[in-house]
Amino acid sequence: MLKTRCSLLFYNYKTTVFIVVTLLICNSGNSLFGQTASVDTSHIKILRIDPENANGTTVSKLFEKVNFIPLETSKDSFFSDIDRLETTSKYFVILDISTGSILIFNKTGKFYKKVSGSKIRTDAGLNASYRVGKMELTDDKESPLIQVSVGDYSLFYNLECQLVRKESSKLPPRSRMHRFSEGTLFQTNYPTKDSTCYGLVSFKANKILNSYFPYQKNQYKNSEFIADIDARLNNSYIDNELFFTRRFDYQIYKATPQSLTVEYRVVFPAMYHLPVDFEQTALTIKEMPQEYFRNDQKLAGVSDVLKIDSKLFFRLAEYGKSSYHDAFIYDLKAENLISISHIEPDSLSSFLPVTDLNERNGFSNSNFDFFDGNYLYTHFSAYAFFKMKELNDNKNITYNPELIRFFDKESRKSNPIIVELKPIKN
Amino acid sequence: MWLRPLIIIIIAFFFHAHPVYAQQKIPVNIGSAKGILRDTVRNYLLRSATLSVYKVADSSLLSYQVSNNNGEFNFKNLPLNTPLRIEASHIGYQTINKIFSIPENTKFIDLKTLKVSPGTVTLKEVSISVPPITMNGDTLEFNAAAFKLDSNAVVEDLMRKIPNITLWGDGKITVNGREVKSVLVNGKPFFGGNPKIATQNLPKNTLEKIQVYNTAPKDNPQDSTLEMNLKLKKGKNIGYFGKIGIGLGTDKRYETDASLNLFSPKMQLTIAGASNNVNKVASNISTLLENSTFKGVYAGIDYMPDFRLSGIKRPTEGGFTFNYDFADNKGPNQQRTLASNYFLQNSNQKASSNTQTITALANANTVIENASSNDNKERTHQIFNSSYKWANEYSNVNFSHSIGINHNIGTGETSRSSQNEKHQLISTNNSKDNSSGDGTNLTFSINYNLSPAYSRKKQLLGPNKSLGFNLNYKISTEQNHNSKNNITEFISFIDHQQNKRFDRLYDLKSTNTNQEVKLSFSDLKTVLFGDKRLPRVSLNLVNYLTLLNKEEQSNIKDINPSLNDYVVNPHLTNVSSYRSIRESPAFTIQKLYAKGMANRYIKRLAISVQAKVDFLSQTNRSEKSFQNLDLLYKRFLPFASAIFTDNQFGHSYKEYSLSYSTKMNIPNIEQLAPLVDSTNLYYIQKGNLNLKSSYTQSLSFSFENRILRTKNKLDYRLAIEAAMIKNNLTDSMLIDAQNIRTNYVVNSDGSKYISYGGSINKAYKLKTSEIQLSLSSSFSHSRNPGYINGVLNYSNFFGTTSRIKIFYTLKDLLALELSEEYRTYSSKQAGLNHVQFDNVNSLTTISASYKLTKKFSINNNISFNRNTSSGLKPINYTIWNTSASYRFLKGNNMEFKFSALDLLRQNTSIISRITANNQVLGTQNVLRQYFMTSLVYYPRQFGKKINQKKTE
Repeated sequence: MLKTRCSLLFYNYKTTVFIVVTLLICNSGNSLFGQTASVDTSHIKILRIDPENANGTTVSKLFEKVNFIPLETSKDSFFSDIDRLETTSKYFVILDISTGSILIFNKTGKFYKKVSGSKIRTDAGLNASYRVGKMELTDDKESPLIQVSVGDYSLFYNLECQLVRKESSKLPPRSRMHRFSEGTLFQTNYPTKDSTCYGLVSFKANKILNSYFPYQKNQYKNSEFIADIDARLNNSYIDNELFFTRRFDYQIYKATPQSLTVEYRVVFPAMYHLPVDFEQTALTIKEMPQEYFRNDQKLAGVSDVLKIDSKLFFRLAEYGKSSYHDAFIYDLKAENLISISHIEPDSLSSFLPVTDLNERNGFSNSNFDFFDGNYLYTHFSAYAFFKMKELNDNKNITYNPELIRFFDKESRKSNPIIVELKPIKN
Repeated sequence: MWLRPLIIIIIAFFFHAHPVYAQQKIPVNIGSAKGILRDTVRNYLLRSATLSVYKVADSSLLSYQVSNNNGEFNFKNLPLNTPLRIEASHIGYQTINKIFSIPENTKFIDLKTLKVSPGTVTLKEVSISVPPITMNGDTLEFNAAAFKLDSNAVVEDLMRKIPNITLWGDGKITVNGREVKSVLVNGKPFFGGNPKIATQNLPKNTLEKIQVYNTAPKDNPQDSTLEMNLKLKKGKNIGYFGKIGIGLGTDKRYETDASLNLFSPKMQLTIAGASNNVNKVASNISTLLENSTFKGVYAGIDYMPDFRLSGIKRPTEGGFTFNYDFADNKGPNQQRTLASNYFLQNSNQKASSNTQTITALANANTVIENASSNDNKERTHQIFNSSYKWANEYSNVNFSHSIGINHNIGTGETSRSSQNEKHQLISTNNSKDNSSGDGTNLTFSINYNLSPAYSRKKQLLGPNKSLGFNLNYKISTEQNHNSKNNITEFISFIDHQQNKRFDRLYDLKSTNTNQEVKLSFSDLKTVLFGDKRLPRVSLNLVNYLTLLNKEEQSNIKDINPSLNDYVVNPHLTNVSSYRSIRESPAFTIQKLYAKGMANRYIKRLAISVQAKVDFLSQTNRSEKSFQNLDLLYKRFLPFASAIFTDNQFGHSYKEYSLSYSTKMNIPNIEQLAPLVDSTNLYYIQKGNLNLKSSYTQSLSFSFENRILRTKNKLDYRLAIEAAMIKNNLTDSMLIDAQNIRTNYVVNSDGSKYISYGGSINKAYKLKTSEIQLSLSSSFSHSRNPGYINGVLNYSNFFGTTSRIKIFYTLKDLLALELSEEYRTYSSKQAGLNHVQFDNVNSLTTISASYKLTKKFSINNNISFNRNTSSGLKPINYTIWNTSASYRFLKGNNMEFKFSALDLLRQNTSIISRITANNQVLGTQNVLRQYFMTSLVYYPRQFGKKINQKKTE
């Protein structure tokens, strides 16, 4: 299933059949936009990452506060899964793709309001075949609007769930967008009117500022291995900064309204490293990538980059093998790599895990849901939460009253649980 | 009836007479030990590591488990005050050991944190001890080397030793309660895919590991199915195994069989043959193969001759199967396989029977017919077929052909006499037959399938449009030549004028050609209405076209007593041709509703409606003008179904299905306008040109529930079906005073039936034993109209079956199966009279296999039969088969076996059946008591001989 991540927009590498690549940076295509802008490589920091030797740590060494917030389960508030989560000062705003609805809960988990999928489609004038696919909050910190994408429309609701306005918007498939507060807009996979596409383009006031990574539209048409271009925007949660990553490229780019710079270059041990010219090789491969990498541990790229203080959160995409332990934290100061699957529960988290990565549940698809500058959010299904609690059943653990109530009164079918984590800052 | 409880007591006593042996391996285990594993170098809890507990004294493996998500382990049922060794291992870590013992007073020990250090990857290969169970990504692996078994053990014996795996009485395999859907060897089906061929033949010592993994669609892991792969040790993927057996018995009984199976990574070849006169009939190579597996050290229920089969059969059969894989290791979506089979069967059957048929007539009158018959038939049948499969990601093609050659020859004698209700003889009809026949048939078919995903990916029909396509063409021709001589004498004791004698020669030739074309288009909706409109609707179009051509030539001659020679019978001698064309287009609309909540449940409702029209034309041309027919049938045949499934993840799975279907049945030429052969005066079939097609409407409902939440899962299901038939093709029989029966097929309304079936299955896996329980019952009722001497009669039939089965295994020592079956039949007439026929059968079976020593085992199979029919005394008989077998030679390759079959000499095999207003009772010749001594040799070689020496 396609899921959005905390880093602006994402879908799982491994479950995607049509694999994507970008062209060589230096590829010179004749563009309507003139010359392709150059990427600043003067400030590269090299990160040496050996995933096999990532370390473990405990919850309390990473976080100063952990809250498990069960979302109220009632007839009105019952929903399927958290496909996207954003927070305001008072509320959790949730997109549930399978019911197509937007749900609002207050910060203690009590249900507040919702817009049902059918109302969204009615407001857009569309029939039941259209899926509500995206949701995000606008930048207005005081009274943000909920922007919902369905069909070729963007609908804006206020936090009282009233429709404020409706706009038509059409993004090409696989194209993603991010708007900086100062007005600059970044779009991935931007097609021009001729045969050229760009991996990344920046606009301001409908004028193109810079264009990067050009490629020909039909370049990958006959390749089973690479069917399209994949480029991702990762919200850095810092004003006017954005992380940008690409398939088969081990560099982490930082986009600002003015420029695109290579911030980090990740180097892996040889067994994980793709050959340097792999982008070109990939064009000639006839098999599907899962087949090609059947007996290999090669890593396809870095994604979901988030920087909190001196800690860099990221995921690695691996072909073929199971990769539920592919989420990491790199402490840039201590130069220590931590595996998220080896964060050991301790008393701070009532000896319960803080992600469901080891249950092979939601986290492996959805990563961390949101970072609001102070708190990092993820979620569990009640099904996974009860399974985690079972491991503690023969120990003498005292849970807080809210968890005691949850385990007593609720069931595996209850609404998901939001995990609120406050990272320790240096 | 005294025998049944006595034998049960004897068996029960016998099985409990060896308690010492049975309990030797079950010490008093009440201590527990827990701890945590930690990688101290990387500072984390080590999950999915294997912990094994061994007894220090003899290094025997007591228990094992995998550390949980918190790196914890907790062993229960360990012996107290005994030195024990715990071993922790994980890929990429150095294996650690710790000696401990559980104090008697606390019955518990906390081993605290066991520290493990990363090691180099190669350490795994040089490590001396192998953990019994490991998690390799999502694959659960059982390492064969960790389980100590007899050197002659096979894979099945290893599976019984693994607590996580359950082998069921019916051949099913489950791992941690979930059913394994397919068993592969090195990633491929092994000799036809029957798991027994692999698990009962492959030695445990050739196996590196058993891998168990999910083959789930990623979007719905709860719907996943389990697959098992038997990974052979390096160099063991080539070899042969087989069986040569011979048995001689009293009463000139014999059985012999031989098979040889060769395999390599790309090729599998089987050559097999068998011959016996003890009713062991195999209809193909797979059955032969299934019954000649090596089997290992565990007790298992033996394959016995079928004592309930009528007559004595003497089959001789053999053949080969050959499979070749041209696309070895080209990837899972690539298939290039050739499969060929040849099978020859020669079967001789001697059958004799004595029956009495009571036919109820109007006014409480009956006709009683006594018949005795003797038949001797010999049939030779050869079949050769091949198929080649080619597949890639989007399409597959399958070519197949088949050639069959049949030859049969037979003689038969029947003497029949009829009495009225006062037991006065009214007529006799005696006949003798000599027949022979030859036939050949040839079939070729091609099937091409293109998945809708292809047109979508290539955008052949535009963006987001797709169309699937399937073409199936089959042509078959059949040629038969049959000849027969029939001599019949009919004597009437009422009217001597009616006495008749026939001596008739038949020479019949026929050629049939049948062609079938099935063309279907799936996913039509996206083409007609686009991707967005009509969500979750699918439209499919299928067209069936069948052409049948039949040419028949019959030459019939009768003896002319004055000439003492055969002269042509102008009435029956004929040349005819028959052609039918059936065209059936069908259009299906399906709408799918789904409602799901992530990690909780998914409910689906699929509603299908099909509109189908059946056009059928029949053309018959004959030298006999009344057989020149041109008939056309046309009928609308609707179908509708609704299937609802409710999958509550990790809790239960329920499926409800309701369907309505219709069917047209057309009369054939034999029913419309037959050439009447009057040699059998007890049954003369006449034609009816006014026959119409019949129309069946049926409604069926089924319900299935699988409770998944517990280890000992429970399944139950039930199904109900009811139908009404309009214009059903039924009999109208005229029976005269001499029991000369003339039958016409007529259309009549009022045919209906209802049937119900239900079953419950449950299994308990205990520490050293296993109990499997299954209960089933069924009920059916039908009402069939028919005319007898012009009077409309309804035969109401009621039947019930109830069955309970218990399967019990205790370690490798005992396998026991108990089953009780109770059947009732009843037929009641309404209209003609109110005669009722009742029949009750009960059958209790006890099968047991017991291992006295590692090499010596005994088998018992006892069935108690009781048959009660209206107006007769109950008949009881017991069939007791027993055998003792001893295996010798180093590899247990040789088996000596002594069998005593039908030990009580009670097999009578009663005939007792009810059809409409007839009750048939009688006896037939069956296999009876014999004793047999047999010797079996199993040639076996796995891996090349040179390699084997090296590895040893």
